Amino acid sequence: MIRLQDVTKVYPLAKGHSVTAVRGVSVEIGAGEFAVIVGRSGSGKTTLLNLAAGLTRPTAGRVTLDGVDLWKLSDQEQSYTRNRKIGFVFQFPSLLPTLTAHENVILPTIFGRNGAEPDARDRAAAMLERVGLGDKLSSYPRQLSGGQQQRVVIARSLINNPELLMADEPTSNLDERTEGEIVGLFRELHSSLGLTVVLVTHTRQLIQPGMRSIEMAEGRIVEAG
Amino acid sequence: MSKVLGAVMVVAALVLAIAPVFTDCQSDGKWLTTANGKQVSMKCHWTGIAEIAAAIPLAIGGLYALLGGRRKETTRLAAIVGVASGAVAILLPTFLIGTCGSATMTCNLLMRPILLSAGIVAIVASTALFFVARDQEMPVAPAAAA
Amino acid sequence: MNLLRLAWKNISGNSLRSWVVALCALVVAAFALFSTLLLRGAAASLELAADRLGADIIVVPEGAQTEMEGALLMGVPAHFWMPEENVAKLAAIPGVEAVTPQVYLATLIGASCCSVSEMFMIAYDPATDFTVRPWLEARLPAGLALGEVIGGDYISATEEDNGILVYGALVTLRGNLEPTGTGLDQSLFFTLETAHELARVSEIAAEEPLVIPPGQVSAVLLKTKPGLDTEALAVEIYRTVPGVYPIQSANLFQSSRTQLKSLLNTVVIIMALIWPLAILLIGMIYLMAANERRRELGVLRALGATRRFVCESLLAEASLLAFCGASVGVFIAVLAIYLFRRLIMVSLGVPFLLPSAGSLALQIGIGVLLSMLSVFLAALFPALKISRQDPAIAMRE
Repeated sequence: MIRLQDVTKVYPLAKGHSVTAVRGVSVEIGAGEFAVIVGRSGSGKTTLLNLAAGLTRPTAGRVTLDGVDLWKLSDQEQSYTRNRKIGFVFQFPSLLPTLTAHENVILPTIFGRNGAEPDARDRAAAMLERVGLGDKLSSYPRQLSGGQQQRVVIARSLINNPELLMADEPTSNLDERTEGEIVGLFRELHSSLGLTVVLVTHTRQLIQPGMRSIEMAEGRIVEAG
Repeated sequence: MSKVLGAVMVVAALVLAIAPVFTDCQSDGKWLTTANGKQVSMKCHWTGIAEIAAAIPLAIGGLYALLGGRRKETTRLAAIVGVASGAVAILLPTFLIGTCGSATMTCNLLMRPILLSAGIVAIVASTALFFVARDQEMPVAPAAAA
Repeated sequence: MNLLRLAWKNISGNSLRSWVVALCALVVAAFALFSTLLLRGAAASLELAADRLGADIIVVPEGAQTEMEGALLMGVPAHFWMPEENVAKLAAIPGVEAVTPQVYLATLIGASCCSVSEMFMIAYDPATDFTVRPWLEARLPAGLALGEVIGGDYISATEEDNGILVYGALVTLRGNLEPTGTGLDQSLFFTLETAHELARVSEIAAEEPLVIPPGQVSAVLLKTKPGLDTEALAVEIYRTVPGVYPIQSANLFQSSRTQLKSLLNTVVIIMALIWPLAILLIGMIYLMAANERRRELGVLRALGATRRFVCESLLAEASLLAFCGASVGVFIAVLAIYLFRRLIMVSLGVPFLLPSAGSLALQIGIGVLLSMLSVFLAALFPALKISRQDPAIAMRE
């Protein structure tokens, strides 16, 4: 499904310096897999995820999704691919504070030329029901707990029925119990919807049987399961 | 937002009460001399005094909103009072009492337009307050645990 | 949910930034409209006043030109006189088609015998007048009787039965002329016969008597034969009739016209300062937004928004803010002009007339569009810049 071939990413810094976040990484994640990318802070795992999702252009190498080179697409095509094929869950609070939970979940459906699809509202309500927040449709993010906000983000990531779900340290700001609930939700969605899941975390304890682990350090893959 | 609108209402009330003191014809040294030689105030002066009656309820309503009035119903009541006060403030110099006859007298040049402006501002702010009034929310528990 | 609703929701987050942008739009729109209304209103008023007098040349005593303009423009009572014989002398000059004398009077200040203080009064000769005749012919074909008056647009009856107290006598207001935005709106018009009757009554009934110097008039209005060179005629008048000054209609209100020109220059200078400053400020604000909202916009891109969507979303926000700010701005400008027009006239020394509804709507539309265009231009470069950011870099801490 996703293939990274000899991918390198160098970020330019001030005064002519630069930092190489990912060095010559090649990895393939197949459809239906549940891959966990682990590593310490600064190991390049978030950058690897961003490269795989087409959120940042590789300095060298190639990134393909279902055989299509993401960076040979126009901005419109690339955005469409992200919108339809990939669901994203971020580490930081990523809900728009001025929209309700329901409106946040509908958001990915309005980027098309024709605006929101007619059944988007119903689909969004169903998604929120699915993640256990059916009674929180008109709540604003500030009225929700951290765990509840992440559930809304997960619902949002699934609104367009993607094949791939990417999560960048989705539980790092949550307590242990909520963390377990969220990971449980990911597993449930993986098995029931047949999603390919790529989860980035610095917590080895989240890796469970049935998951493939990919360990990164200093921009390279040091161990792949 | 309610606080801002409340502050605007209070300022409008102050303008209604204080502006006539400095802008009626009496402040310009103009009086009406009656047939027997006595000097009496002209009607613009009485308009100015009557404006205090409009200013007081407006100020009270504004203060309630400004100082963080918590109940939606009471805030809306304050807004209604504000609208009514603003309307009275406009009617006083136009229909109820009026100002002097000549267009170039101080009360017509300054006092009347200032009172009408303050009255309009009071009505607009009070109307806005009516629609933004809501019961104060209870604060939510912090979103993320340490 | 669509782009516009999203933009509206983002704005109503009530941030200081939104308020500042809206305020800039408000100031630009308010100032642009206010100055346009003022300048066009003043120009229109001058035209109308000159037309209202109906005269090609107005002859006043030498040295009284400024006082004459003050009376006509601002309603400041005039007190000047010249011999009545001048009327016949002027009528005799070749090229003069019609002449009519006028006598200028004023009510007392703060006296109980006068309803309205310091009001400018014009007494005309009904046999020869051409100033109020067009109006009279349309409304009161029989003309004004003794004790009857007509008023400028601002005059209203202060006593019962359409009465106005003038020097202790009760005159009847028979109607009002259309507004000109000048002092003519605050003036009373009546016949010379009524004027003399008022003078007679005032000796008993008023605090001070009304004095009309015998054998004197204040001004003589001339109509010239069609196609005649009024400049040459004016020179001839100056040469033939001693102690008078002929004011050509085209040169009437010359000091006001000069005043208007300098007002226009001032407005242009202020606008030249405000407009670029507003655009600069808004541009800066949106660049600041680039940093503050980069994460949020990075998220939108990650969710599948195109660069174009992000750019359009920011421009939609800017346009909505501009529209709201500009709408309030034009409302304030119209209100200020309407409520404070007399103060403006007196302070600036120019007359003013409110435009017709159609003209006002057009000027309001232009004011709002100008303001919206300014904000749009200011936000364009920052919006383009933000939309081109690498989403991953945008979302970094």
